[in-house]
This record gives sequence, structure tokens and C-alpha cells, in this order.
Amino acid sequence: MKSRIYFLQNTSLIILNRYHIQKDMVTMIGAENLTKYYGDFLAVDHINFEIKEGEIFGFLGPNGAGKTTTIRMLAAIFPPSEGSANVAGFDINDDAMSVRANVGILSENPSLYERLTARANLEFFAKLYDVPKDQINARIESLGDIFDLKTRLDERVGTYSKGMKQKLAIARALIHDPKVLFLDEPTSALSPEAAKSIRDLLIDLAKDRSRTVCICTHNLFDAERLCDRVAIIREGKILTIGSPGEISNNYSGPPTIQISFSKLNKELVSSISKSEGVISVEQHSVKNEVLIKLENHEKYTPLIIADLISRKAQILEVKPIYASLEEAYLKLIEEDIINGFET
Amino acid sequence: MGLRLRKAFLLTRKELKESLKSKEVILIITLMPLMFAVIMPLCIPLVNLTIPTEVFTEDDFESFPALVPYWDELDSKGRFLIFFTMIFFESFLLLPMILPMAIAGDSIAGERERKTIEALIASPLTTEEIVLGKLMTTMIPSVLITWFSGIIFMIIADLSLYGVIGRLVFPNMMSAVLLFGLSPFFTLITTQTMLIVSTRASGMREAQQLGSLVVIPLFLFILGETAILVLLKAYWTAVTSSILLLCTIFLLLINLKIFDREYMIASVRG
Repeated sequence: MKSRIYFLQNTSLIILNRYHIQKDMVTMIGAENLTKYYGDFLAVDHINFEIKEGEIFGFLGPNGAGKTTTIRMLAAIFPPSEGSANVAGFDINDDAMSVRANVGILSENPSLYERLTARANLEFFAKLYDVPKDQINARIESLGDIFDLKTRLDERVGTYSKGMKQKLAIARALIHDPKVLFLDEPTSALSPEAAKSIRDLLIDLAKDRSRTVCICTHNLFDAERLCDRVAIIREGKILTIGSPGEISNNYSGPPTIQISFSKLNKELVSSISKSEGVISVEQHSVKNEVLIKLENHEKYTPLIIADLISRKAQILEVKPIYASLEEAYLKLIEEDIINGFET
Repeated sequence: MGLRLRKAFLLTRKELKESLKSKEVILIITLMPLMFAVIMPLCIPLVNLTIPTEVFTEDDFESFPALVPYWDELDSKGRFLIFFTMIFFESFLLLPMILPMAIAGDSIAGERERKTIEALIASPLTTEEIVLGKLMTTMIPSVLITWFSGIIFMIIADLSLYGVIGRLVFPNMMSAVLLFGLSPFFTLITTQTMLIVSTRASGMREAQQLGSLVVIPLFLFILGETAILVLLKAYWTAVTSSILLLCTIFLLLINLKIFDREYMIASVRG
């Protein structure tokens, strides 16, 4: 698998050039007023969104938010109660069979036939999805290779570990090389190395092969590293859609400015506190660092630095600390709960 | 989209491979035929040996309808042994109902229990193809095993009786009609009932318990059918067979209606 370039920016891992999706790219999934009732219970509430070809899109939300129901409707497993969606060029209401033939899905449970071998599982689904006969073996071998299962393809799935089953279930979802991939918690039950290899594979599928990947996850760290855009969903409603960076900025406010000194004294801290635009200053005496919250970091950071230089402060490093997606997510969910109570 | 038999067969082949790896299924489909087709007819010589000829009088079975064409040539003990063999043969016809209960329980309720149903429902198979695939999974082995076991039963029963009455009892018209004509219907009705029950039962055990309730009325039907075959012959056989056929079609329609993809997935707990 190709290696990816990451760099550490404070506490967040940011993937370089990840947000490459352009507005003029082909829409692979378009949902319009997608709604699902289970009896009287409204599981998905008139949601609208678009996902482009080659995009990795994540649904984030607490348990019971409607994430799984949404992807089950998009995968044409069952129809919506209201609204519609177009997936891979087919309408989920009018042409569910074509939708199913063009998407791959990993459900909450791996759904594997444990009494059969991994090869028999893959072969069955390859035939079900009309993979040409002469290509079936090559695909199975290739997926076995990618998922590190090649030497155990002829063993019964019942003997596999949880992680191996998860990898096999993803391999099954890929056996017919679908245009769209729906994955429910793809890295759950996986070791950190296996989880990373799955993330790398999904990025390769999206970027190099223009496959659209749609995931449901609780794992915000994963979503931040993997997704071009995410939708935060609660009680069947989409609260926000955007790139992880956009959502972090929008919902967690401007970054905190961290300044490291070779030597830090009370006078410097006091002068920073009195500077214009400063909301709060937090001193880390052991590390000779201060964390500054500003009204507008782009406007006031240069002024503070200039003032510190004039006071002959020995500055080692100045860097902004951005909030993680997790912080933004928690804030957003909390706000929504409070709003819900108020209304 | 029309029904694609190739897809349904593909599902059947996978299901059979899987079911035949279940110890429970293997145990039932080997032990039950052994009991019904081998052990039961082997009891006939024992009955012959343990019941002395003196017990019978010449009047016994006098007013009884002829069970074989040479009925009048037989003495009372010979008639009793044939009557006894026929009762065994009727009991043997429980087999085409027991086998589908084991296989269908594993194939449908078992699939939900093992949480493998979602991948199947998410695949490009129509509901009709899934139902047909599941029906064939149960029907093919059940019917073949029943036919094979029936032939074994008849051979053993003939071997056991030949030394006593000097004539072959099987094959005869009644056994042929019951085994080859009606037993597939019994299998089909049990299979369809199991399919209906399995789509709603919480697990394999519950499905098999509920499904077993259908065996009792069906067995009573067999008894009635045998009487009809003996007493009233072809006309009523055609009528009752038509009733069976209508039952099968009715059950198939129910199955197609209640095989709800959404319910099947929703009922699988994570």
C-alpha cells in the first residue's frame, strides 16, 4: 500500500492535500429529503446532501443518530419512507437492484459464513455480483494479498480472529469493484496497524481509483484522518456538513496561540495579559510556555510578538493550536441537546 | 426484473455447502433416515417371530380392504404382517417433514441467528430469488433423501416379508403414489411453513418448535390419504392432491409477501 504523508500540527494529525474534492466533480450520491420512519419513530429526518466521486465522506453521530439507517437506504437495502436518493447513477426507489449491484457494503456485523472458507465466501459473492468467471480467482488472490489473508484463504472463517473477519468483510464488499463503498465502522475491532492499513486502502481507493467511500463511525480520530467531509448527525438530522478542518474552526473558535520562550518571567506574562485582544493567558512554567486565547488571532498575534521582541524576549517558537474534530463534535452535540431542551 | 434461476441455484449451492457443515443437520439427516428406513422395517421379522400364528383366526382381516392384489391368497398372519408394514410405511412418511424442519431451520432462522442475512439482502438478489434459493436448499436434499430412504425401506421390508408370505409387497401403487407423488408436497408444505415461521422466530430452536406443530395435521392428512388410496382410489387421490397443490401455492404467496427485507435486517441484533 502506498504510504501517506502526515505531519503533526500540535495535537491534530492533518493529512496534506486531503481536501481535493472540487465542485465540478461528478455527484456520486445525492440525497433529497431522505426520510425513514420505523413505525412512529422518525429515524432519519428529511436529510439532503451530495457526495462527489472519489470523496471519502463520513457520517458521525451518537448511537441511534440514524447513520446506519441512512447508509442502508443509500445501499438500497430497504426503501426510504419519504424522499429519494441517486446512487452511482441509479435511483434507490426506482432501480434498487442496479444500486445494489454497484455498491459494496460492510454492515455492523461482518455477515460472513463462518462454516465456509474465506475463499468460498468471496467466490459466492463474486458470482452473485456477476464478476466474470475468469477474473474471480485473480480478484480473490489480490484481495487476500491486500488484506494480508492470502495464506489463510482456504481456512474456515470460524477460525479467524475478529480483526481478520473485519478485513474479510471489507474484501467481500470490494470483490465486485463497486463504484461506491458503504462501510459501517470499518476500523472497529482492528489493531492499530490493521486499522491504518484499512485507512490507507480507502484513501487509495478514493484518490487513485475515484471510488466514493461513505463511512459511519464513532471514531473521530479516524474521521479526521480519513474523511474529506463529514456530516454530524443527531436524531436523524444533519447538524452540519463540512471538512473536518472547517467544522473544527467553525465550532471550536479560533486557535489558541502557543509561545515558547528560552526564559520566561512574570513581567513578560503580565505584559502579554495587558495586550490588546487578549482573552486569557495560561502559563506553563516548567516548559516556559504560554497559551494565549485571542479575540482575533490573525490580527493580534503579530502585535503581541512585536511587543515581546521589543521587550527582548527570547522566543523559541510560536504556533497556533487548532481544536480537534472531537472537540467540535462534542460542542456541537452538546449545543444541539441544549437547544433541544430549550425548544 | 424476472426470476433468475441461476442466481437462486447459486444461493442453494452455497446454503447446502453451509448446512452440510452443521453437525446438527448432519446428525438429523443421517439418523432419521436410518431409523425410519432401516431400523423400522427390520422390526417386521421380529414381529413375525414374536407373534405366534395361533393368535390369529381365519376371520381376522376378513372385512378389511385388500392392501395388496394377492390379499385373498394370504392367511390372517400374512395379512396382519402386511397391514403392520403399511402402518410402518405411513410412519416413514414423517421423514419428508422432519428433514425440512432441520434444514430450513438452519438455513433461514439460523442465518438470522448467525447475523449473515444482511450481506445477502444487500446483494443484487430479488426477494423471489432468495425465497426460491432457500426453498430449493431444503427441498432438494429432503426429497432425494426421502426417495432414497423409501426405496431402502421397501427393499428391507420385502426381504423381511418374502420369507413369510413368499410374495413381494413393494413396490405397489399406494407406496409409489405416497412416496413419489405426495411426499414432495409434504416436504414443500413443511418447508414453506418453516420459511414463514423462521422469518418471524427469534432463533433456530424456536423456528423448529413452531414448525413441528405443522407435522401433526400433515401426518393426519397422510393417514386420511392412505385410507383414500385403499378405499376410494384415483378420483379422491386427485382431489386431495389438488388440495395439497393449492396449499403449497398459497403458502408460497404468503412467503413472498412476508419475506420483508427490512424486517429481516431490523430483527438481527448487533
